[in-house]
Amino acid sequence: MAEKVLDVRIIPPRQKHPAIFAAFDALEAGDYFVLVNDHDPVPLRYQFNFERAGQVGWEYLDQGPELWRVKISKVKA
Amino acid sequence: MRLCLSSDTLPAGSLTELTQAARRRALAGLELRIDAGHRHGLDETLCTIRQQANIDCLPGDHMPISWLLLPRDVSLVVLLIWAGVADSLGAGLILQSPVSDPPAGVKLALLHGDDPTEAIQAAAWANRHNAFTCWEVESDMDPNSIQAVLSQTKVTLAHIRLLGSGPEAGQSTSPTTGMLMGRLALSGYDGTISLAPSRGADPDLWRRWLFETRGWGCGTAAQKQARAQAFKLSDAS
Amino acid sequence: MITTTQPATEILDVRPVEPKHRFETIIGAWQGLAPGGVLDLWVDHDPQCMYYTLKAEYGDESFSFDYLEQGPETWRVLVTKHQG
Repeated sequence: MAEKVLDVRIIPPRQKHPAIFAAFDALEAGDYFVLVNDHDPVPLRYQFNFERAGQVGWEYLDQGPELWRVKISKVKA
Repeated sequence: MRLCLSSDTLPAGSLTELTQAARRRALAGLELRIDAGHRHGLDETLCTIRQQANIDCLPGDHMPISWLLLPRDVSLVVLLIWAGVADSLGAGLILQSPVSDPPAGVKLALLHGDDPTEAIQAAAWANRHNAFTCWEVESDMDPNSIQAVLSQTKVTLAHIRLLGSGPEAGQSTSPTTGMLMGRLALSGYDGTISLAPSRGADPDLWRRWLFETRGWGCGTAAQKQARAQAFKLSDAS
Repeated sequence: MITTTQPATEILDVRPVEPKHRFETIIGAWQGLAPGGVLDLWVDHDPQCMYYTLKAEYGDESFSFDYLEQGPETWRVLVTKHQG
């Protein structure tokens, strides 16, 4: 299966974080998706750290200047 | 998934302008509607030789052309011409109605809407002809229907036309786009998604979004005021 | 006569600000607040990620985050910078 990629640029602001968290919660442990955004998703990272503490892997694949790509993985228990 | 720009967002735009707009928005390709009202230079009224000349004259740094969206009910002769053009460009062809004997050697996708029954029929045609499907999604679609359509086309789906995206996205109260993008990501969708206007959208709204504003919100003059206020506060500290 | 000075309240409506710039806009406004000052924040979605950002970068004790409105169209939060 192809890599899971979630380009959030076209998602309306109100739906962005709910969509990201829904995708994360649907992941199997050990799996990941690549988030694509037009700015560094720092607040999202903090939200993951608090709301899914210990479950999230966060790795930057690209850091601008136009696009940020972050590999968000669900840590295996 | 790769985002591209439909010429529906800028029918009067040349290929150079469409390329500039797509680059500005860090998009990966273009979807061109073959229609007399579009000014990108690929015109259904041109004969084959002139079409080839137009392709040869494309700016060397043009954005990849991912798809050509053909008119409804094209004849087989016209379809063959466009198949040749698409092959030269490395593009796929979007058909608005099924054909019984599609040409081989070119990527074809049959367009369907939000109706799951229509999706089933399109997927059946695609499977019979080793082709694909193209889903035209309205951003205010009933989100409960998303899974019904995706389940029918998970193998055949190669392109999505997302109507009401871009500058219109912030105006939508429907959760469709977020849910759709999430489901596509989880399914490993590696096709294209074109940004297109909703029916009756304000063309000036799109033009400003493509060429003037930055970011993916609704950016207005108030934005500059808000930023100036914030930075004035910051400077005062 | 004793004059009491009300803490300064800055209204910050980020709804017209492009998402790409909202974070820097809000953080810039927060940094510019005097101790005791209040940011009256208007957003078109739940700004809980800003709550987590302030918590992570400045600590729980440094602010309070009080919702006045919670959608469905508008969220309004009073973000108070604590003294000291």
